[in-house]
Amino acid sequence: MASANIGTGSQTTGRYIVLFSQDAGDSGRRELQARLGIEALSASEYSEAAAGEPDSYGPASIMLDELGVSIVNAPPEREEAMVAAVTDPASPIIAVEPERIVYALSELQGLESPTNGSAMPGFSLPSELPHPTPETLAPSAPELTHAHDEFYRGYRAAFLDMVQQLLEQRPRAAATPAAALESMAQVQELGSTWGLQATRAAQSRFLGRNMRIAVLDTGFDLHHPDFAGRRVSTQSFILGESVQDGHGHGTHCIGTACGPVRPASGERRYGVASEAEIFAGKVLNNAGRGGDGGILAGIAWALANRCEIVSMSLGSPVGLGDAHSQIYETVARRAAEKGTLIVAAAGNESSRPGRIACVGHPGNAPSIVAVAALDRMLQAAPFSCGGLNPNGGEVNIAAPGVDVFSSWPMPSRYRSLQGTSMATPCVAGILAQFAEATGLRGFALANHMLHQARRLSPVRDFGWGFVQAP
Amino acid sequence: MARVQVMVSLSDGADTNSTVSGLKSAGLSVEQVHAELGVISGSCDEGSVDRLRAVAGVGGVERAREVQLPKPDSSVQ
Repeated sequence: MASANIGTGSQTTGRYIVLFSQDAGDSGRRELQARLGIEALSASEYSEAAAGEPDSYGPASIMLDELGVSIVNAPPEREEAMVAAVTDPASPIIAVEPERIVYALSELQGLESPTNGSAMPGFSLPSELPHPTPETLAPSAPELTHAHDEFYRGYRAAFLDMVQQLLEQRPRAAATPAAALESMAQVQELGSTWGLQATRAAQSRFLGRNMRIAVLDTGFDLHHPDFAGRRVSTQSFILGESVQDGHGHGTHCIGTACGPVRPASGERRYGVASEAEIFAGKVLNNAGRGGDGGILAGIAWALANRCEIVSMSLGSPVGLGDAHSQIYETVARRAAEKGTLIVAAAGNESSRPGRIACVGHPGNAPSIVAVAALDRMLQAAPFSCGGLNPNGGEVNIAAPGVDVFSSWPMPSRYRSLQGTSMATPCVAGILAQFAEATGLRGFALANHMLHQARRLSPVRDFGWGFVQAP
Repeated sequence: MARVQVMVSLSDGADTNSTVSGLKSAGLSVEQVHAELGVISGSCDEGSVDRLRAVAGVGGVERAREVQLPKPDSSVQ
């Protein structure tokens, strides 16, 4: 093998494995040329070139039509374009990975662990997924030529690896494999925040139009310029305090759920359901404190106003073995049956990896969607609570909860924060997108959203997985 | 005796008005009635909580909790 060309541990081989949709046909090759300026040889052209001059296949790109795969030689600065292709629904490119298993083939054949150590941060595979070895490869493969057997086997191993991953994901989520999404960590927040990109909320054509989202929190900065002209209904459930946000938490959460497509300042987009109607209920005072009475009153207000979604970035810690509140469960079930679905933060009491705390109250009620936080690498945030208790104490869904850029009361205008409080309104906004897209409400809406999530392991930390917009 | 804040849920199908009357008789100072949700908030003497539970139409009684956010300058919220 011309191992010098394909690398023996170098992290900068510049090769990627590109997977095309099943029906891509010739459009795959055209896409490579148009988007990446890459001319891919067919397997036979490639063999010819390689036979004549063995070292020449280093820089070449190959199209393996039978597999729907191309091996692409591209400089690292093209990564962004590749990720853009993966996230573009119109592109036949559905996954991109670095050429990692190929040069791990020598270890693979010796049956060393092939999966440890990723060539490039941001493209690593989940370690728990099974990886094929040459022995497990399907017998039907394109005709291989003498010296290139190992070379192709390596690519085939990588391809099967990728298929394995995709098969383990829901059909809808198959277009956003781990490699591509994780590579978003490398992508700057151009145009929209990383969370809006990774959840595909920014790419969605649904903006929550005609949907109503109630955010029960510390209120809202009613003078924030990014929301000038927006329809905002407000109600304070705090005695002696107006809805004007004296803390900031509520303004940040409303920004994530409902912020504009184009902030007035020219900043990047940070809000999911940009056309949803905002219901700002103040149930926590300016010191961030509130009681069940005000929260229940806020839920009743949201229901009376026919809000499709109630976002509650609040809660209190729950111990192992503690039961959920029967009252909140009853209230959440009745609200959902009438078309008002409640989502709540899972809680921030964990200190991973050492300690994982239980999903808090009221997120632990079975009829409330409990939202965990993950970071750009799609890892559980260190603070994010886990599903340790049964009967409602599970995490239901995970959303971006680290480095979350959103609105903050003036004069600050913006702030980046982390917490399951930040993840919760993202799910609320995406639920509004789904509500608009499908017409579903209540539990049917929740189930639809959960089934569209990108599965992540372990379930304890992510529930159904990483929330994905319609 | 110390006063406590409580939440009371109505059983499915219970009549709100008669249940509220029963709760008042059992010692509840009713603050808010959310009929559409079937939930009532109020306060009572610490010793009356069990009596509230025995009122016809009551599904459950719980002491009200408080939640507290971190201070605004905390990076984890």
